[in-house]
Order: sequence, then C-alpha cells, then structure tokens
Amino acid sequence: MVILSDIFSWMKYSYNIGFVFFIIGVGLGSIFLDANQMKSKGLTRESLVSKWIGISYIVISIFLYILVEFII
Amino acid sequence: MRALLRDNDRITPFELAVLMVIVTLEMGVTTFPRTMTEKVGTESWLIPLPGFLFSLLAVYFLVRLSKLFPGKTFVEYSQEILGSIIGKLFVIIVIAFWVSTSARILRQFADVMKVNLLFRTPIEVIIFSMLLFAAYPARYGIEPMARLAIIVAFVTIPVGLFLFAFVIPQAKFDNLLPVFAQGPLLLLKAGFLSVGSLEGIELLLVLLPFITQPRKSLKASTWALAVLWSIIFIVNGVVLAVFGEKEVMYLLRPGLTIIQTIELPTLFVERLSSVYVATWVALIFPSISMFLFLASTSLAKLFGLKEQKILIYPLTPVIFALAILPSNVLEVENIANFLEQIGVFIIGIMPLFLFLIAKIRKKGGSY
Repeated sequence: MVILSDIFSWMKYSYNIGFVFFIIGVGLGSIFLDANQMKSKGLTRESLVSKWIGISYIVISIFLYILVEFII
Repeated sequence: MRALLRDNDRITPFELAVLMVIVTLEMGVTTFPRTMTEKVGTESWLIPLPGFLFSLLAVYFLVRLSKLFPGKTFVEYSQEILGSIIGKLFVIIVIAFWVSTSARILRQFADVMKVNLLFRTPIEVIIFSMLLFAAYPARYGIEPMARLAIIVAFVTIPVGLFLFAFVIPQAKFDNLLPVFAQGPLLLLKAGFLSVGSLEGIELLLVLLPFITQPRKSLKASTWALAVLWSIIFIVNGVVLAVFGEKEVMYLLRPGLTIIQTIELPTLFVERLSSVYVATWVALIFPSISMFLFLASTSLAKLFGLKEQKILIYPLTPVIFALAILPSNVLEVENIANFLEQIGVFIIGIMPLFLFLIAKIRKKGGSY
C-alpha cells in the first residue's frame, strides 16, 4: 500500500503532458515507421509486434494521464 | 561502400576492448574514490589490484561459456544451463539491470550537467535529449557504436588524463598511508565488490558472438581491463592523495571536485571543470547507447524477434521514467549502491555459477 501510494505521488508530480506526448510519439513511431519498415523487410511478426507496442503505448499513456489528472 | 554499410553486425577484438573501456568509464568513476574509501579507508587506491584479478576471473568464465556455446548469447545459454524458467528469470533480471543502469547513468549525468553547465535547464530536458540521441546509434547495430566508441575514446581519455595531470602537484602522498593496516582480507572483499561497478564486463554476455576473431576475445578483454583499472588506479590514487581519507568521504563526486580545485598562476582558462564535464558528455553517450542495445538485443532474443531496433525507442520512456524517479541526489546514490550489488551478482557470481552448472550437467560443446 505504501509502495502504491509512493507510485501515485510520483506520478502526480512527474507524469505531465510532456511525458504523455513523449510516449505517444514513441507509439506513433512504432506504428508508422518501425512496423512499415519491418513489413517491407518481410518480417511480419516483428511488424505486428511493433504495431501492438505502438497502440498499447498510446492507450496506456492517455489512460495514465486521465488517471493522474482526474482520478488520483 | 555497400559492403561497409551492410556489415553492421561484427566487431573486431580491438573494438570490443575499446567498448568495454568506454562503457565502464561513465559517471560511476567520479564517485568510485568515495565509495571505495568508505569501504577500506586509505587502502582504496590499492583496490585496482584485487579488482583486476576478480574481473579477469569473471571475463575468463564468460569467454569459456561463450566457447561452450559458440554463436550464442547469455539469453540462449542461460536457458540451456538453468532450464527455461530460471534461465528466463535470470535474463529478465539482467535486462532490468541494464535498463536501470542506463537510467542511473542518465540521472547522474543530468545532475552533474545541471550543477556545472546547464543551470536553468530542467533536468527532464537534459535526460530526454541525451536519451533520444543515445537511442539513435543503438538502432543501427553494434558496428557503428564500436566506431563511435573509438572516436570518443581517443578524444576524451587523453583530455581527461591531461586535466588530471594539473592536480598532481597538489598531491600529498602521505595521505595514501597506512597500507594493509586492516589486513588483506578487507581489501580482497572490496576488490570483489568493485567488480559490480564495472559495467563494461557485462558486454561480454551479449557481444562475444559478434566478434570477428573469437579466439582473441580473452586477450582483448584482458587489455581492456588493464587499461580500465589503470585509469581507475590513477583517479583513485590522485583523488586520495589530494583530499585525504576524511575529505574524500564527504565529497559526492571526488573525481569531479578534484578538477575544480585546479589553480595555476599561468592558467588563462577558467572553470576547467566545464571542459572535464564536456568530456564526460562524450563518454556517457556511448554507454547509454550500449545499454540500450544490450537490453533490446536480449529482449528480442528472449521473445524470438529477428530485429532488435523495434524495441529501442519503446525502451526510452521506461528509462526516462526511472531516471526522473529519484527526488534527490541521495536517492540516486542509494539506487547506484543497490545496482552495484546486483552487478556483483551478475558479473562476480553468475559467470562462475553458470560455468559450473554447465560442466556438471554436461551442457554445451567440448570441454
């Protein structure tokens, strides 16, 4: 419980809109750059992994921002 | 030219040696005199002797493991030796260690930059920009990073040692005494524990299959250790001789503070520490790239991916978050001490342990 409270207080202090844009940028790069590059190399699995990493990064970053700004 | 661009997955033994030296010479070396003096007092300048022997042993077992499992990294052979579950657990611990070490180096670097050069820049901006620049070469494989390390080594190490030469006139060599007052066992123990702070050795867990002449890897690694420990010996000895035991223990980064003490009547350049910090910037850049490469390559092998580059940028937010996690310098130092202990486990204990288990279970090639 103490650890969870520490994590929440750290997030409240450090997880800002800049960090969200950073993660979304990484996610978009994975989806549109890496996934396409892997597909053109014929690496289907790597392309799929890259897409999923990108999507999950974008979703998680937005979810965490809503959590920090409106719920915690 | 075409062959040059495409041949990016092999390095020579010399390049391996340079990488080992450069990766180890990060911010930790500036705090090394303090952490070692806290353990053994005035004998800390002698730690490079047992430290060299213990690190050589670790390198020997890592090279032997690589010979038992040719062409395989620790990700593959630790699973063969320890079994799938424990092996994977060990691999995950090592990857987490590399990610945390990158974050620790970045944070220490950002703290030093903020105090010495970029007073008004937020620490997040320093960490973010350095991380993005370091991630770029890591995406292009081991060969560009090795070339970068060679350029950095030949520019920064002579400059760093040259600046140290200005400090030598202030040295009082009485500060290095007494020697062996507490017996040799304490020194041996400190030498063993110091292996944990030599991140360069960990490169061998992944990089040995990338060497063009694997037979020369032990010789190259030995040379790297000799150069590395010689530099640590000089830094440790000079810092202790200038400040003395008690003062060293109160300084956060004695290896950096000592440069700030340079005062020469004929010296027309002010704030030499800025030049010194600038050389550290160049030294830290390949270290972070290398840890990103190691972590992404190991993760890719763990999940059976053929390309590691897709994992480089996704690792950066994790490292960024870990780097801004500590609220002050004291917390950073506590984390650094904890990581040093994990480093002792990974480098000091695991190679011997893996080798013995492989021998008992008759795993790998010929003995």
